[in-house]
Amino acid sequence: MTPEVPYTTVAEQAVLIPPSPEDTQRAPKKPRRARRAEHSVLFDSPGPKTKRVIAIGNVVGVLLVAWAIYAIGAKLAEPSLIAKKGQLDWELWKINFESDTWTEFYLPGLWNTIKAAVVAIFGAVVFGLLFGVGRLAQLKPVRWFSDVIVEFFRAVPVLLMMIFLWTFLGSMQFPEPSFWAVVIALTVYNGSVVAELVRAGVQNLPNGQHEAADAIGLTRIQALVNVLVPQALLAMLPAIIAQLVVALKDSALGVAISYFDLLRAAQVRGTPYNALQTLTVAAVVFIVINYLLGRSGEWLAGRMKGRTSRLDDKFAQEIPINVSALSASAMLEPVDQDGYNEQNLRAEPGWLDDDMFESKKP
Amino acid sequence: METLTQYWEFVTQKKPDGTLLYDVLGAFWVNIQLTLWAGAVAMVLGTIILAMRISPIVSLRAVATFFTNIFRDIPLTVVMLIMWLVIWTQLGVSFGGKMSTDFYILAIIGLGLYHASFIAEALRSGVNTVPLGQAEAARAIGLTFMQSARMIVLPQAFRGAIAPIGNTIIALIKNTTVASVMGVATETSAVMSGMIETGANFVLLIFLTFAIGYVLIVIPVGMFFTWASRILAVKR
Amino acid sequence: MNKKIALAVSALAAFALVGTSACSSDDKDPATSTAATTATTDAAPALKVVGAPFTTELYGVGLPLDSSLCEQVNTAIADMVADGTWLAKLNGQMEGVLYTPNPETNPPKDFEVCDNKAGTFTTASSDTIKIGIKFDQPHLGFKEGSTYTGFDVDVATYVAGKLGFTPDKIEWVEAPSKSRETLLENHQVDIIFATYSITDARKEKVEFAGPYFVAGQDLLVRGDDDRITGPESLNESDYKLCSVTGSTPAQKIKDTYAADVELVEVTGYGECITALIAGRVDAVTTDDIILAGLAAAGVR
Repeated sequence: MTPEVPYTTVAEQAVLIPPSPEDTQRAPKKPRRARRAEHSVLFDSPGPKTKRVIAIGNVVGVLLVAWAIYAIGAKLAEPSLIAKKGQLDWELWKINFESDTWTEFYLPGLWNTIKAAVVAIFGAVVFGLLFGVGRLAQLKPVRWFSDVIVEFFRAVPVLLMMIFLWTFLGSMQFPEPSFWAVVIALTVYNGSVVAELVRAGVQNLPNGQHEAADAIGLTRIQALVNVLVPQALLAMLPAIIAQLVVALKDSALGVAISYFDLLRAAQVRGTPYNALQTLTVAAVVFIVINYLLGRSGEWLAGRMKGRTSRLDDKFAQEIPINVSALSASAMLEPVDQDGYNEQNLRAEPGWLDDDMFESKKP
Repeated sequence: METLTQYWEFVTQKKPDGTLLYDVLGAFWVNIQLTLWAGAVAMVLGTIILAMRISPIVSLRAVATFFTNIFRDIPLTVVMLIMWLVIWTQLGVSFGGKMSTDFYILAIIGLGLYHASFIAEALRSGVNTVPLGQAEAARAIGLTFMQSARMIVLPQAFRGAIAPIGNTIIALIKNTTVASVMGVATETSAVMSGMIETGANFVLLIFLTFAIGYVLIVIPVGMFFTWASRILAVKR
Repeated sequence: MNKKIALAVSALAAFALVGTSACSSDDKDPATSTAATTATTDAAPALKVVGAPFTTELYGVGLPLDSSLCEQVNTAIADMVADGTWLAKLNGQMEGVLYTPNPETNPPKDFEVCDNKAGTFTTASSDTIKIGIKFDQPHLGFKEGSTYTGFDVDVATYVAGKLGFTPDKIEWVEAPSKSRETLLENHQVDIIFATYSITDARKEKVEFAGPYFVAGQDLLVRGDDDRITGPESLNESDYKLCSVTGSTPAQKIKDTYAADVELVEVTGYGECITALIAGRVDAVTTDDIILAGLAAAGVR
């Protein structure tokens, strides 16, 4: 397994294309729409005719969407066979505006969701450091063992781990089996992803780093602990926040093992007639929180670029930007449960981004 | 050893009609089928979303971004519950007589929708591997947006996106277990729950059976995509 | 040329939209149309429990193995039955529901023999009692805002009163099915009233007092649905049956009574009830008293 990536990575690409000034300093932005429409590589600015066609298309599109929403709304508003109320009836929705619903259900549920995700992420970082360093160890059995652990937990679905741990911890008289089943399942899964990040991060540090460590007489473990891993860790911070989003989303699987998270709180509150109404609120809360967290990860990634300047350019670009391209040489990619590393896709500078359009402006 | 023998008897129990009580292999087959179908849906939708994202029309770009943002931040469990509560229960979507068929198809649609945004993002990272000069050259020789996308950008983008697409597919394989929330009772997590319910003594062995099954599926798939991304990547 | 592209892409998007909405406005399945033709009168109850229960579940009071409260709890339940509170509370909770608990076994007369006479444990804290209940079973064990309601809660409150704990000294804790033994073994709760069936396997881990109710698996159907009268009638047509994962095994119906019934298991009672009133499933199965509680629940 060579750390060499056999094709041009996104990050290398990013080096070829000079980063836009906006990446480092916040210039006053033009309205997005204006920038998007004006500068593009793939197509000309639309002329009057095309603009007209697009305008008509937009109107038709909006009408179609409006019709679809109306059709769905009408179907939802149809009174059910026996309760004689449609799902859009105010009687059913007002539960979401009662203070008890928030203080006794949504907020404690959200707190449990966050608690599980945060504990799991801390655990995952510890697990990831342990086995990430283990995979870099010189001792073959240690390396082999770490490989097996990491690959195993990355391949097993989180839901299966939760169901197993719930029963297993329950039978072992473990306190709060559902909480710990959620936490441990998320820890080992996200931990194995972090382990891969650590390994890839260390392998991509410039050679000078470990040569220097060798030169001052550090052992390999000392070099890892004192020199290499801290650098990788700093650059990984945004990726860890992205992992937190993943953990928050996956903690909703806890509903299958009756962990009182946000989703289950909504489910309990909605029993038996308001299931749809409370589920809607849970979904919206999840989207808002994950969106804000994702955005803050993006912001942090922008900040980190400055902070990690002492690293090799390539690494500084790669770690926060494209983790998966980085470890394409590994047997398995660092995959989160959602199939990609949020960081990688949110913060990637490429010519699809507004900023690149901007920077290509003559 | 004795435990293993007992466990073997437990796993191979037969129903009165002679079929297996716990069809473990069949359960994995259900997950594989879900993966294939949902993967196909996600690939098609993901490509459409990407096309919308790079298209000249602002409104299409907005719709694509909205779709991606929603599905990126919503838990899959919630998507599946919405499929059950809204689409199946309230809107009455049906694909024939049997409930199980409905759940199977709705699970595929839910998984497909959820992973489509990740495929689109993977493709987008693939588009970013295509040097800007390629697109500029395409435009310079007079190709239209559709022509340059179809002949120059997308073919290279697909090849550059194989590694992240592989990630998404691997995640999809594992995420098919969430179909049980949607009422698909024959897939692995539902079968495993059922087995643990009755065979509590064997809980560890039951888990290992399923876990190793996933390891045996996921690792070769991962190796395949790594191999494919090396072979197919555009050398620059 | 760009025009064509624009058109093509919009057409694609439009197609996707039409596709979705075409799906949503689909034809009704047979069950829905049959039910829709049945006249609905305002007098008919929304949901009803049909037939006699076809299994027997003894709901016991769960206690830690080292508890000294078993005998006292048995006495308290006997008192509750004797002074009429038991029946009053049950009727109060299940008001307006077409449901009678099995009269041969209810109210229970034969109580568990308390095995552990030498127990010393009463409650973890001397002035409060932690009681484990279900949170999601209306009129049985239900978290309703900051208060708790239901028959389990009523019995628990009565028993706690006899043990010397006034209602304000009670701390209610959720006791999900799989966690009940663990909660007791770790003394995280002092006592459990949570549709807790007495079984030999559980007796090895916890002490049971009671039973305070004898339940059995049954069916809940729409109030205007006269086609289903018991588990056997599920076999006659392509009925759809809903149940909650991890509750009384619904598979039993399929194995014992109706091989052809279509069964779906979901994670919450709300999902089953929503599908039942929308006409998407024809029956919900679990223990009769849980079903009665669901039927008694109104829109809040």
